[in-house]
Amino acid sequence: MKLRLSEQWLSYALLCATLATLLWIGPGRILNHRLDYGHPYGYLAADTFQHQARADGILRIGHFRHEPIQHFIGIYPDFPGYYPPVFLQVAASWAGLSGLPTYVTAQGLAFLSSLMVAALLFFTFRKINPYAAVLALPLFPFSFLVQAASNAYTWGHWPQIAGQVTLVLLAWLSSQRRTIAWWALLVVALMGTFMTYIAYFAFAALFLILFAAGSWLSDRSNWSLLLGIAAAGAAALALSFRTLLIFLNVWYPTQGQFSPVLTEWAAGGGYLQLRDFGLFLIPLLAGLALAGYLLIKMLSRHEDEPRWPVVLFAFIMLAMGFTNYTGLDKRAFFIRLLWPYYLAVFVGLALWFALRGMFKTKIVVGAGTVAISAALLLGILLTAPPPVAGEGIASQPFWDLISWLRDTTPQDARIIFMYGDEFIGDNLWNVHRYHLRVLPEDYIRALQTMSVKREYFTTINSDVVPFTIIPPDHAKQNWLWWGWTANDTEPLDFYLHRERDICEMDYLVFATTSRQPILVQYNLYIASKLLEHPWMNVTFQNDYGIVLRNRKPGEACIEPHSLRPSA
Amino acid sequence: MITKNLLNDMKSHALLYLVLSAMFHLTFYGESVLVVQRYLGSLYWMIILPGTTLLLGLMPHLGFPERAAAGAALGFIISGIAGYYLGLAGIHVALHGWILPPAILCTGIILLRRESEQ
Repeated sequence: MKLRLSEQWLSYALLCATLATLLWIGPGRILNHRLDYGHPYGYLAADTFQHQARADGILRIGHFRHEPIQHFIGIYPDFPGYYPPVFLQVAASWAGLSGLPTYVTAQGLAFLSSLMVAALLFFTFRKINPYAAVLALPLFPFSFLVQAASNAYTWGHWPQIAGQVTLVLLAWLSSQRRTIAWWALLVVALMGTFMTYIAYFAFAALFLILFAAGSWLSDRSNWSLLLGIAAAGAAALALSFRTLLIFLNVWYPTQGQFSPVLTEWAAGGGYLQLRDFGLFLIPLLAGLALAGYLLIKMLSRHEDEPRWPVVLFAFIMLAMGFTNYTGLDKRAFFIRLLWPYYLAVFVGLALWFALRGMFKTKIVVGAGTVAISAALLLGILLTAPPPVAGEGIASQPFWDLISWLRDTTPQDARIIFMYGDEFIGDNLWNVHRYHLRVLPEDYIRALQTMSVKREYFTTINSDVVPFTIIPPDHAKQNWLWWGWTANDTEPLDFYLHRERDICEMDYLVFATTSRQPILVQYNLYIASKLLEHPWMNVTFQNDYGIVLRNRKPGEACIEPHSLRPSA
Repeated sequence: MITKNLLNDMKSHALLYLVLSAMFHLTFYGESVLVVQRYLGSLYWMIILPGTTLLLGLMPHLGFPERAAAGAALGFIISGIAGYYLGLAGIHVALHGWILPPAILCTGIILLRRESEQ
């Protein structure tokens, strides 16, 4: 079925309107219609900084051969960059090219990945029916409208969103005519899946196996397709050899196990439920039945550019969204986040079928399609709730302090963060130095017992994974490709969490503002005791906190004592 | 023939860039023009332009809008994978945005030329 030229341009205009709506209600609302605030904005959880700090580290080191966080803290500096690289690499090189900070590009890439999925799926759906594709558009904005879903962007589920671009590229490819170029693109898309979010490779494999099986059903002589897909998968894995090695040695030992059934996910939500679609559930469910019928019908005929894989893909993404009940854990929720795109085809099919039933003339169906789609989009845009993200957990003064430490202190400086509401972990990685963080519970305990100590329980504020993989003596089991084995015999706490002497540090950082004023008073008291020594001085100060420079690390800098008045 | 294809594509790219510019300036109305243009322009140069041109060589039968949508996805993936390996080979990531897009563009043009010769 082909649209007339004017209808075609109208449908493109509606796609543009949808993308503009997504931009407005997504990044527009979350970022309050600005891009660069001079500090990370709309970063509401540690994971956001995990990705941003890694991308920033890659930009500073220049490559992802080593894990940048480990590289900078100097413990296991040769630990390989283990996170799937595509998202981080693009965020880093985008920042390098544009001169924009990585906190803008890493976050922006998550938003734009979502838009890329939307745009490409529209053209994929057009294969089934161009009217249904237009009628599917009004469901797209739900990916940002539902608060629990939009949290995925403020809580840092970014590579998981970017990884779905590769899955959609596979779906689009499956409905294209198979040429030599098709096979080359298949290998690239599979590599992208593996190197953007490894778990999606399994989803891609499932889709491709069913695609090959369906092709065999519609064209019985098509065994070569299955063999070709297997060869493409093997080629993709071979070309992603380093990521495969890392998967086998890092990801699988640490996160390879199936989890119990997960029905809720506390990490900010980041997904939606079918009930979130409200009244759209009616056409969605009707569309499911219709799509099932169409799938069977389309499978029975041979087409050079098959349409049924698109329907199959939507069904698979629906099913994958429920795999949290089968032990696949949060990976199901990542898929559910983009359900408004994947399941939109069902809504589109149902509305198109209803329109076609009501009106016999093609031109009326076309006009109705455009009118309904435009009206629904406009309604959604006008009734969109106000933004809820806010500034996040990195205020401008806090970011200035972190940037000062990163840009001014020597590369081998040893930093300790005492107490601050915003000292949450991954955001401190941005200092790109060896740094410790005092565990708040120990600090609070000391305050409750009215004591000042020289040694506090601290953690090396690093990524935990390398510490779970590498044995303490850093010895390799063999010198060949990998060599380290999972370090499941030593208690993790021994390396990361223990009492450490604050006098051994070069820089001590104290927050001077907090929602807990008593902790600020405790901070300032310790700082004042430290400043009694001539080798200690305030080297940085702003509205957020102070940084003390210790010119004699190791020298006794504070006497443990009680704050209780002596009898 | 190739020149005509590329010229047509350039016109379409100009139109698409204008549309995207309008969308981004409207959405980020609180931001300076320079920042929005750096944001969009660098992304377009890194991802959309090379991906779309590569697809012109690989699948010349596709219309521009579809090719741009698929090309953006393809450009993103290739940029990430190739950038990762360039980094491992010792080429600094800050240079990738200057090296990769022209390389992908040239590949697309070479493939288009080969396609038109057949």
